[in-house]
Amino acid sequence: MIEVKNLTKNYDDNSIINSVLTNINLTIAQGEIFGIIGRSGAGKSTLVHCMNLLEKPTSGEIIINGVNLLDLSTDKLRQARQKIGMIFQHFNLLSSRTVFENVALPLELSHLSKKIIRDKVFGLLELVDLSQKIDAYPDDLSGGQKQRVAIARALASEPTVLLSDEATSALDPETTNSILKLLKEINKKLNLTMVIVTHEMAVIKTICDRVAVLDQGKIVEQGRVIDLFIQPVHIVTKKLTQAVLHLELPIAIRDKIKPQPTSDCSNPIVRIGFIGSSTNEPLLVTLYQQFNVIANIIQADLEFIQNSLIGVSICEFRGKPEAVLQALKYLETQNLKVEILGYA
Amino acid sequence: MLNFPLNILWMAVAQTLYMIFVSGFLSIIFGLIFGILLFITQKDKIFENKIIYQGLNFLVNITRSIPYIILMIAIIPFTRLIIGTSIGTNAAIVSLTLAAIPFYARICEAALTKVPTGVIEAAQSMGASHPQIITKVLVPEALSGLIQGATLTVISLIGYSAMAGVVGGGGLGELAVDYGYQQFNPAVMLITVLLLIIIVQIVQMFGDYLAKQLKKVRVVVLVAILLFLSCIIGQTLPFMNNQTAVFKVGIVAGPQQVVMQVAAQVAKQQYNLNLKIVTFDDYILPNEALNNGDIEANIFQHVPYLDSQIHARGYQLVPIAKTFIYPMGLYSRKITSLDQLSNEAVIAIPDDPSNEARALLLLEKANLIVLKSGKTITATIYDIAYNPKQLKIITLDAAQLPREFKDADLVALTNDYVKQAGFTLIQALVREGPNSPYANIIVVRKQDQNKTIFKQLIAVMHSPQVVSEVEKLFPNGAAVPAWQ
Repeated sequence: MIEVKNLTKNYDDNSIINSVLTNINLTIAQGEIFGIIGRSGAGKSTLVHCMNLLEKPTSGEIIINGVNLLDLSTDKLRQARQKIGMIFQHFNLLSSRTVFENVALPLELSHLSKKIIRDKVFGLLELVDLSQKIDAYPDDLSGGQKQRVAIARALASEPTVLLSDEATSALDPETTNSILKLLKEINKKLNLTMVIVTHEMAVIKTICDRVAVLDQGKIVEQGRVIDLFIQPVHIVTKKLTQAVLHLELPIAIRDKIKPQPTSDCSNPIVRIGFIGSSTNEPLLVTLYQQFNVIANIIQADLEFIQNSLIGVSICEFRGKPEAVLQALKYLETQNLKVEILGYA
Repeated sequence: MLNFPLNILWMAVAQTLYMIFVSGFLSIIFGLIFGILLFITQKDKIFENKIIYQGLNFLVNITRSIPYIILMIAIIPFTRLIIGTSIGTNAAIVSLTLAAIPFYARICEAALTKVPTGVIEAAQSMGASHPQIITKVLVPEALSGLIQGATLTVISLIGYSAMAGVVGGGGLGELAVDYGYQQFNPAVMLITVLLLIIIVQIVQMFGDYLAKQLKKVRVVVLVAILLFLSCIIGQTLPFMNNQTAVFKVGIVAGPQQVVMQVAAQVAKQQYNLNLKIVTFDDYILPNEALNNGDIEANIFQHVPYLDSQIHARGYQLVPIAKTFIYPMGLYSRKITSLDQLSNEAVIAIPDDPSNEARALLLLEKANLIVLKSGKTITATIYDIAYNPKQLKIITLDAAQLPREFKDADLVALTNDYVKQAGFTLIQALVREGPNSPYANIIVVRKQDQNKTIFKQLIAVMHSPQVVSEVEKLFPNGAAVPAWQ
């Protein structure tokens, strides 16, 4: 379990204080995959570096497995770090070492015997499906293979936490998916707590249970990934989810809509989000039959987010104003997330 | 042909290899340590420490900005402290090492900077300690650059070692200077330079090979350590070093080296005395080394020069006997008598203070100039009171003078260089008389002057074999025994 309490990080640059993280509070449960997303410069990388004290926080607490890392002596911190694996965007493998030797490095640091190291490394390389590349050098591997080596290396000292700092950002989409699949497998097999830092919502969508959205050093939104997709609140979250769901109003419509209804623009543009079974209801038919409201679909997308099907559609509602209002009320009773984007 | 004993050549090769290996080994080890310190104490690095970094940085810059020749002389007290003497191959190694450490430290710093920060970060995230980061990550990851830098350092050392002759360090460089430059033996100069080129080529090829075959570095390091240890043992165990009552005599490179080889033979045959001739490339260190006790006697100077050095440096040295007078003369390829000397003619004279004065006194004797009253053996070109022909008198390194006959109307040559310039003493337009104070002398430390061993040395220097060798080298009265 990871708890971050009142974490603040400032950079003191020639007496100009730059605040990178402000008052961050997070609780990540054992075995959970927790995402941290934000645009570049939001402070997400600094945050994950603070979690193993590669960056020293200005104030706050980092509690991992019940121990506040900031209370530890240098030696104890080193021991604690062995239980916190980390993987990086650029893999950070040692180019002078073979795949085997790279994975063996953390075990050498703990002065384990050659025999134990051998057995462990073979097991780990099997886990990441790289047994055939055991004597290759990093320069001879593809990006995905390098990240697999890095994952094996991060797991070598049997950590309880794995920190991932943009681990798939340098990889193509297909390789990204295979790495994410591997991380998910490992998460299940080892009940490992994972913190996934990324700027790609697709990554969050694929493996994270919960997510925190970081903007300008502050957490602006956090919760279950599904909830964030169906009903994003903060503008940053909206933009990030839209990118995955391909849900943006066509420019022609976006330019036409007004924030308030007027005499000639009275048809609401409505964003409807739904999870699971709701999608099976013949919703639009009901609207027409019951309220005589025509829902004209402008955009719609269905996504499986992990095991749940979620759908988001943007519709223009046409009908008598009272009927439209009733229809909207009805939708809310059906456990749908409804948001009026404007009027056309 | 070569006119030169081959065993001296092989000895010089061995000395060069020994000097380069030991100083290279030590400077790579210490340079690496300092280079690592320079790197890890930088801002935002694993052991950030402003004081250590700036201190080291300053020290490295200082040492690197001192010319090697100055450094070599400046650290003489330190050299004596470490190895007990300021002359010889081991003394040269101290200064070579000291000059190369900061050089290699900078190279290491640069090589380590190329290790990606992320790799160090990864090691930290695994819980690696600072020593583990250095030995398991930094050095292995930078190894290729470190080896290329080591190659560069060793090659620079080969260049520096050519100057080791100043402290009697020996080696190919000294051979090239002593026999090639000072004694005008171009064949020797060529051979030594060729050998140096070959050594540099081999070092470079080996370095390039090793930088690609990183797995073999361990073996090479191991062999180097063993070789180094055997060098140390070889130097410290006396029986390996056949130091049976060696009696060291300092001289300055030039024809004297040949004379002293004969003297050494005589000493061995007649007195069972092992003379070791220590050759210097300058005129300051033979007295310094004698005063320090690194050598027992020197034979290279005359009384006025000794007096000036005693006056300047407070040496406790005394002359115990005269050897030969080598009269200085004024020579020319442009004129055949002094009457032909035109106004504003160029006259080249030696630039060391005593020979400069000696040449000025000779010019005064020839009625070409008048010195300020009272100025004799300390005169300089600024002490000329009257110069009716407005002669242009320039001072040059003594060994350079024989090469100046095309540009100078009149050249003052000490006798060491008369033969090489293609003259005999008779051809001098003016020369010193027999009553000159500039006879060469044997100089010892004041407290040693009554030791019997010096009576033997005097007898050796005055022996018929030495006299005939000197007369062979300096025919036509160019060297006159001064003790009769």
